[in-house]
Amino acid sequence: MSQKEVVIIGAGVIGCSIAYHLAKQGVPSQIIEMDSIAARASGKSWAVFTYPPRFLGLEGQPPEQLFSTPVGSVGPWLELFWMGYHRLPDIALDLQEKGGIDIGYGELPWIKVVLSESEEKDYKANLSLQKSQGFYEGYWIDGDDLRSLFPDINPLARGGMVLHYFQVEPYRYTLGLAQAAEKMGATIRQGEAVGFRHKGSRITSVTLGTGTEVETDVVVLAMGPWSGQGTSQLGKEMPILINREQCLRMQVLKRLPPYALSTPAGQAIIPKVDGSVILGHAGSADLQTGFDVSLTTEEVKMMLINDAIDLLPTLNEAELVEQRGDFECWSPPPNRIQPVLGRLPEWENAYIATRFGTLGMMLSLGAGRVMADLIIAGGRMPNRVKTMMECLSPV
Amino acid sequence: MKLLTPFYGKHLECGATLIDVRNWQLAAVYTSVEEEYRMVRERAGFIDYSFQSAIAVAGRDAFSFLQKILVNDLRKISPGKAIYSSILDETGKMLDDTIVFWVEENLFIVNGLFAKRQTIEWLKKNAPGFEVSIIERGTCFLALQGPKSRDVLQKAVNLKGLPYFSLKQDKLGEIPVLIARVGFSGELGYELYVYPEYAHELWDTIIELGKEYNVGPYGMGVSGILTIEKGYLTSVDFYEGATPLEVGLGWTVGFDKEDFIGKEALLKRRSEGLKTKLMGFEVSDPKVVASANDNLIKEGRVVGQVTYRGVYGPAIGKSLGRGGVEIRYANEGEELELEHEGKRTKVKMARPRWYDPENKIVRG
Repeated sequence: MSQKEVVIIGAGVIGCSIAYHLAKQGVPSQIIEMDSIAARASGKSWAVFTYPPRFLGLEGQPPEQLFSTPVGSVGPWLELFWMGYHRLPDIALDLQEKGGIDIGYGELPWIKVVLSESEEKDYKANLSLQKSQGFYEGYWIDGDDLRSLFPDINPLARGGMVLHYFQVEPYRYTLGLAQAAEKMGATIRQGEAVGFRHKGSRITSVTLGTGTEVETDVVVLAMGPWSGQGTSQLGKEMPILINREQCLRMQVLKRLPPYALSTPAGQAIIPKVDGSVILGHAGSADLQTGFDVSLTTEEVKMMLINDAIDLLPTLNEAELVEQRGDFECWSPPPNRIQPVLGRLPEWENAYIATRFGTLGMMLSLGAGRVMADLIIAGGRMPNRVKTMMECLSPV
Repeated sequence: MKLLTPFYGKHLECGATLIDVRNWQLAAVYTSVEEEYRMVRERAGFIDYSFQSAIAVAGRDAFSFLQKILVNDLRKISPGKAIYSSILDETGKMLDDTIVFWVEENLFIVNGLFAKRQTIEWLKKNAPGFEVSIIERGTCFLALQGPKSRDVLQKAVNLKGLPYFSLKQDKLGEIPVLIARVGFSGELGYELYVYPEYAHELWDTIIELGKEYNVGPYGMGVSGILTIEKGYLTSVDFYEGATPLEVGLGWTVGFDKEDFIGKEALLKRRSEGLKTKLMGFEVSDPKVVASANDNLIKEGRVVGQVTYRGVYGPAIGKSLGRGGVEIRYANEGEELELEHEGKRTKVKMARPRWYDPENKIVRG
C-alpha cells in the first residue's frame, strides 16, 4: 500500500494499540487525544488478560447472560482474545525495548472460588466443557489446597476452578504501546476532534477544536464511551451505554500468594506484580446517562472492601491507597458487550474500534492487530480473521 | 499440578500413552517405539518439546550480559545463528544447558530445558547493572527430525541458506513461525516455534506436508534413545560436582572470554585435574538396560553411577548408557560392572557419541 496518513482519534489502549501495530508494519500514524494518554478507563483497569476458553461456557446462553462476551457464537471471538493472550510476553519485552516502559507483566493464576454445591457443579461443568473442546490447562483446586494457600479464606469456600491469566499495569501498558509506536514513527497530538471534512465518501481532514485541519487518508475512531460523538459527526448513530466501573488499590502488610480470587457473585481480589492488591467487582452494571457524574463513590468503596474482607478476612489489615473509576462503553440490551470493529459503512476511509465494555485491555492486542491489518489491506479482511469479523457488526 | 503443552489435545487425539515428567504430561509413545524410531532415522517424525522454556533476553546490553552468563563465546556467532552452551554458578556447577538463538541484534532466546524457573531466576538475579529485559516467551514448538525433514518443509517454506545451527523467521503456509535448524535426534532436523493458537494448525500442516513420507509424531521414549545414541546430554547428566569439563563439554568453554560466571572455578578445576568424568558404556548383555543411579563397579568397589537411564540403541545394536566415573577408569575400552536390580553385568566404557560422531548427518 502507498504511504497513508492515518489519523487515530483517542489515545486509550485501543487507539495506542492500533498505532503500535500499524507502526510495526511500517505505517506511521497520528493519534489525536483530547486529554492525555490512558487518561480515562485505559489507565484504571484491572488489566487482566484472561484465559480465553473460559468464555466457552457462555456458548448458547441467552444474550443477557453474555456479560463478558459479545453476541453470537463464542468460537470466532476467541481468536481475538488469543491474539493478545500468548503474545503478551513478547509485547512486554518489545514495549520495554522500544517504549522504554516496564509494563508490570506477570503471570496470574486465577482461582474462581465456589461457595456452594451448585456453583461447584457449574464450574466443574465449565472445566469439562473446556476439556471437551481441547483446552486442558484449567484445573480444579479443592478446599483443603485452597486453604493451604489462603488459611483464613471464608469457611464456605469449597474449592475453585484455576485458570491461567496474565496481568499488566494498565497505564504503563498503554503508555508503552504509545511510546513504542512513537519510536517507530507515530506521533501523538493533543486536541479535540470536533468534525470532519470530506469529498464524497472520503474523509479528507479532521477538524480540531482549535480550528486546525489535520489532513488524512484514513480516520480511525477509537474513542471508547465517546465514540457516539465521533460517529454522529459522520452521520451514523451508534447505540452505546455508558457504564461506570470502579476498583480499589490496597497496600497489604504481607504479600498475598500470587493467585487472584474471585467469586461467582463477581467480587475479585487481584495481587499485582508490585505487591499491591486490586479489589474489584465484575458483573454489576452502574449505567450513567452522561459523563457529568463523579467517577468514584463512597458506596462502592465500602462494598468492595466489605465483600473482599468477607472472602479473605486478612484484608482487614490492608490500607486503601487509591480508589479509581471511569466510564466503559457498553452495548445496549440485550447484549451488554458487543464490540464494533471494522470500516464504517458508506465511508471509504473511516474505521471504528469501540464498545469493548470490560474487555478493552484483554482485547487490545487482538483489536490493534486486526485493525492495522484491515487498514493496510484497505478494508479487505485478512483470511484468518474473516470468520471472526463476520460477528463484528459495524455500526 | 499437572503441566500441559498446547499440543496436549493432539497427544490424546493421536492415542499417545502419556508419562509424567516433572509434572509435564508428555507423550511417551504413539504407535510403538520401534516404528517411531524407524520413522525418525529413515524418514522424518516430529516431537512436542514445548515443556522447554524459551527465555527472551533483549536490550542494549543483551550481548554483554549473556557473555557473562554463558560459558560459550557469543563472538563465535552472529544474528541468525545459534550456539550451544552451559550456564554455571560461581562454583562451576551446571545449572542448565541451552541452545541460544541470536534472533536480532539485541534479541536472544535462551532455550532452557526442565530447569525453567531456576534458569530464569538465575538470569534475573544476575541482570542488575545490565540494560536487559528478561521474559519467558509464550511460544511452543515441534521438532521435525529425520533425513526427509528438509524435503517435507521445503514444500511450504524456503530453507535454502539455513545451515546447521541457524534460524530465521518466516511463514509456513499461513503460520508465522521461527524455524531453527537444530534438534536432539542426531538427524537433519528443524524446530518450529509458534504461538500456541497455531499449535494444532502446525501439527496438522506438518502431517499434511509429510504425507508422502508418512510423517507422524514420536514420543519421549524414542527421543531418549535418539539422544543417547547421539550423545546429547540431559540435565540428569550433570551429576553432583560436575562442571562442563567432566561431562565432555570442554569444547563449549570460552576460556578466551574476559569473564563469565564460573570461569575461575573452571580454570581451577582444569589446573587441578579432573577427578571424575562422564562416560558412555556398552553393556555386554544387550538385554540388560541400565537405570538412573545404578552403580558402576570396579574390583568390588563403587567407582561411578549411571546418570541418565540406559537404552537399547538400535543403530548401534547394543545396550547403551552414561555415567559419571572416577577419572582413572574413564578410558575407552575400560571394563567395569553395572549393578542393576541386584545383578552385575560387564560393561565397557566408551566415548558417549555413538551415532554420527563427526556430525556429518546433522550438517548434511
